[in-house]
Amino acid sequence: MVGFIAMFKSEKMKARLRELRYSIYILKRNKLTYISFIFILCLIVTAAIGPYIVPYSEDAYGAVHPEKVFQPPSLEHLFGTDDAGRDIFSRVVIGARISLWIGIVVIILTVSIGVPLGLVAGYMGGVIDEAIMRVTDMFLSLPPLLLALVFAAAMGLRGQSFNNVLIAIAIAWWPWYTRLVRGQVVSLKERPFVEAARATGISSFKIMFRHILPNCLTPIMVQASLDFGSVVLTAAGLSFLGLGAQPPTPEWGLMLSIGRYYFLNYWWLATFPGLAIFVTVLAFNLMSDGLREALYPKLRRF
Amino acid sequence: MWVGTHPTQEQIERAKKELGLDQPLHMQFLIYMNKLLHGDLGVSIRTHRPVLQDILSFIPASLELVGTGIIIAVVIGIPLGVVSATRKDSWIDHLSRLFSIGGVSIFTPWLGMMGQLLFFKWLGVLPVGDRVSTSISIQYPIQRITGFYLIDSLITGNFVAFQDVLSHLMLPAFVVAAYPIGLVARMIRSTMTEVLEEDYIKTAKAYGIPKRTIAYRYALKNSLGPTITVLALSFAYSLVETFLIEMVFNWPGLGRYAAFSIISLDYPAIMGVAIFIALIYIFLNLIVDILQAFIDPRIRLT
Repeated sequence: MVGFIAMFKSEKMKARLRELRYSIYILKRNKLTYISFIFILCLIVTAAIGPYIVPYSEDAYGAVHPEKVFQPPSLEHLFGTDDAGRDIFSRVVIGARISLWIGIVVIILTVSIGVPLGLVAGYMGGVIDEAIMRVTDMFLSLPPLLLALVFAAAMGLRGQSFNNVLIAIAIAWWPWYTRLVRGQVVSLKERPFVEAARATGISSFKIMFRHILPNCLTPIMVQASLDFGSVVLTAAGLSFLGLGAQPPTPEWGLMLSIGRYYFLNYWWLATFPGLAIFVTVLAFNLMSDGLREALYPKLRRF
Repeated sequence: MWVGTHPTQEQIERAKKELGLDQPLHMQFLIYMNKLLHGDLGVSIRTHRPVLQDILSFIPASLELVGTGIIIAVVIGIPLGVVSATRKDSWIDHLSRLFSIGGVSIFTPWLGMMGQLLFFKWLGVLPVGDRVSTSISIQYPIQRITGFYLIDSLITGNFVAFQDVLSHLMLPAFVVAAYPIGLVARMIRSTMTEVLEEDYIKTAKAYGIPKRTIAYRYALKNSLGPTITVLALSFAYSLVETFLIEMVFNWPGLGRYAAFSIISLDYPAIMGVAIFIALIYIFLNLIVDILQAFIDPRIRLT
């Protein structure tokens, strides 16, 4: 942490700040990115205060209202009611919380597994590199959704805590970060500043985490924002197959999976949760697209 | 599950012998690996049939679905990419950008459901699911030759069934294509943008060769390399994505088989499907490498 503060005070930091301001300017210039950025902020606020503003917050969990099942959308129930008479609008809004939580936890887990491994593999080289990268290749030879499915199934199915799904997705996802970081490290470790650091005799550990890691942060951030959407989709897919959240959790994928049996007669059951997934993932993808343009100056000429 | 819900002690003992559970764990693993090398994936706990036989009977349906989807992606994606590369920042370029980001953001089962609502429920032009209608399969039975209903019905001259199969295939195939279309279009656009700056394109322009010919004859050929890689990857991706899509369309393919196996924790079947898909994945990578060398003679297989 001290290193970061020292960095802030240095002259270089001023240049960096200027660059950051320019990046924000670029971010603002692209209207679509700007809109999606604001949308995500709204989404986060909604997720935070959702349970307190929705009209029927008790419907998110076990409540059952047999007298008002399958009501079409109206002013009272904006998105209609489902097979247990629960207000779909309340459930979708509270579902935002779960999806954001999944995305954040999984990204933190994958980054904290994948990045250190990539650092070690790239910096140490030799046998360690080989060992780590071959394991990574093994994971990369299967599509992540399939891996996540297999791991989730292996960790048991019913009555389990929802966290197993998060762990399963993280296990399937970390190799991408290892590969990304390793590639960066291999090119970075030949740079003079690393050589200089080594010449002063500080430990490899410090070189890796203090000197090399900060220089890899940009691609990691871009990748993380890019993956957020895919993670939300994967989690929804697992729930859709009955592996993730269990009823009556207001998870969007699960709501779709239950809505599947009724939606041909009651279209609002499936439409709104799916729309929520689409809009959320779209916003994150648009933002990461813009972020990449803003952070990688080379792409700016397009 | 192997012996039913209320087994007697004797049945349990016999089941243990049949499944090889009386052996120590490391022996179980060795036996499994030995059988695997001989092409034996074990017996499904759910269907009581050899897993390999199950997979082989379900795979044609999935390959037909995914194959059609990929063909649709190529047919639509490549021209879309070419047009957006040659007419940058035109409305069609923005449309293809929106299409590609939308395609990767959408939850495919939801897209399928919305398609069912629109084309089956409201317009009534396409069937809701299955590979072929029951009445047609009784009146005009399809001889099973390759397992691909389209090909089978065509070579036996069974045109009524062919039409029916095609109409069943349309919607799921387009849902499968939603993801790769955008990827292909974007890939073509970005590689072709680079290719169009090359000197030989300028030469061709100076010779007065029509723009269309330049785009399709000269530039496109040299942009295909990365696109083929993307196509192969999205083929494998779609094969897993059909786990979800086949559930929605009640499509009797590998995906639905895998999904049911996962829900009932049928480990031999889950392992079998995972190994099978990994093999397809590796095989596809090999084909891609060969194709790359074929398209671009500068790449030599060493």
